[in-house]
Amino acid sequence: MALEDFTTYDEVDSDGDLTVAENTITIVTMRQDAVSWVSEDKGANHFGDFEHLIDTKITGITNGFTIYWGISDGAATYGDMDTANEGMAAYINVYATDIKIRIADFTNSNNDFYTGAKDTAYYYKIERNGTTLTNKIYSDSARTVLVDTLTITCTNTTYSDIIVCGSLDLGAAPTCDGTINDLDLQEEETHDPTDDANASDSVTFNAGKNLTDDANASDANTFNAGVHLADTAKAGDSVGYNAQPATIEDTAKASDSISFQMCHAHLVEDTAKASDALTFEAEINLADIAKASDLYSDNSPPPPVVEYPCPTFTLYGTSTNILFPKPEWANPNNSISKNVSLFNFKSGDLDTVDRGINAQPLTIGGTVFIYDGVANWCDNATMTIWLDSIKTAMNNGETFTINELGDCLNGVYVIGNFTFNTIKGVPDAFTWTLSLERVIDV
Amino acid sequence: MVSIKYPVDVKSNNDRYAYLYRLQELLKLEHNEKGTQFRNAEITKEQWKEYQLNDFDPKSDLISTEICKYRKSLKEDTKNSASLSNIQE
Repeated sequence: MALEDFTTYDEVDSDGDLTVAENTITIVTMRQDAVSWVSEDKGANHFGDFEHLIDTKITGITNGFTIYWGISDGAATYGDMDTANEGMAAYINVYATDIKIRIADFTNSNNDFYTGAKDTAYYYKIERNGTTLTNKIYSDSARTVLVDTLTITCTNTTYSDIIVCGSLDLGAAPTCDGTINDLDLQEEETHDPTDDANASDSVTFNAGKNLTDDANASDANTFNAGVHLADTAKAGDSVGYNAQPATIEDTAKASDSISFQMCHAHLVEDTAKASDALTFEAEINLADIAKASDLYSDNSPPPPVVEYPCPTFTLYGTSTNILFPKPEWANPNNSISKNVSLFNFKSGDLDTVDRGINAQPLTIGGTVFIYDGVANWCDNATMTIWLDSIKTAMNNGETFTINELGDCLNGVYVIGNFTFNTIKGVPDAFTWTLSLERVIDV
Repeated sequence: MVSIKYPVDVKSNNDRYAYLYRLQELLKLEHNEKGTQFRNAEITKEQWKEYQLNDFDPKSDLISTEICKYRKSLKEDTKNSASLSNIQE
């Protein structure tokens, strides 16, 4: 506990009788009718229940009076407190041969006293507990020798001011000499906690702190790939990267081979070099499930697109595609010249003009038959049925008979997906495509 | 919790008031005996503080409260013939 610093208290000393030091007030010939006091405002309702320590030694031989402890809401002399019926005080009446040590409540006028001796130090423990005010008077500073206990019924009023010296402020000549010392309010310095810790609180240590140190190439470290690296990997670093965000439970050894497992969710910031001996393990998820009905691929290269006209071409597998060259837009009316060799299928011309080229884009579909000749298709193949006739026959549900299979032919091909597409006024957009599917081997 | 057990022959306010002051005096004597033991190092500081906190203070507080109660009753007792005129110079 800390002693009160009296030099910070307010002081009124009408006759210059008081000398205020840090822990001692020295009283010299303070007349009873002087207006003198030393007090401090501690704030409204500061003093409720309390236990205060203070001591005194009255040395004068003449009659006199002094308050050595009191609480009030502003009144600081006996006269003021009595007039206002305010506050409580412990005080000393000095008589010719002895002193009366009293406590009093000025609100209800209760008081009690002990008859003490001059030139004797008394040590007090003044307590209020509800409506009981006691003043235990000791003869030693350790307060082991109890001289008397003064007791009164007091009000439970709370007060703001603490008084450590006060004159009678009544009467006349008699004076008081002595000292008032070492007031200890025994008030703990309080700190308002912002939160109360509870026994049930769990304490969490956050070990996920960033590394403040830079990793060095010479460090013998194990990298846990689940932690972000604050350092930037350098091309010269000898580091094994495990791109999977999982804890590495094994320790890398010098003899380990390093492989990069490429996961698309991780960017590789290092540049691969031609001299790198790397093994890439491509990890591809199958998004589809293969079915029995699926067409299979034998991984052979796709058939080339054969341009027409051509001296020879080879049919790959059971079908192929032929890309016909783009015809020239020779006429301003967007018609196509019949003279374009594109339409010369040996046996005749395919007249597209009549098919409404002006209604572009135009698509000719359906299935037509051609005889594939010998190896040199362009020279020997014979178009036996006009495309236009076939289309008409198909629309009528007629049956076609292929009559000319013979020594000069080696098979029958079905023209599938025979289309040409045009966009009016855009020559480069005019394309023909068809597919040939071998249906009869001869 | 401490309490005072009054003897069967201590019934009136006067008797109980006097009884309480005697208890207070006895308690003071006990306190000072403990204090002497402490000063003479016959008991430790911890024992001295423990006595003050758990024995002396509760009893002293109770006695003081009881004294205040019976003193108030005595002050308001008009059965006797007390008069200020009986105070003589």
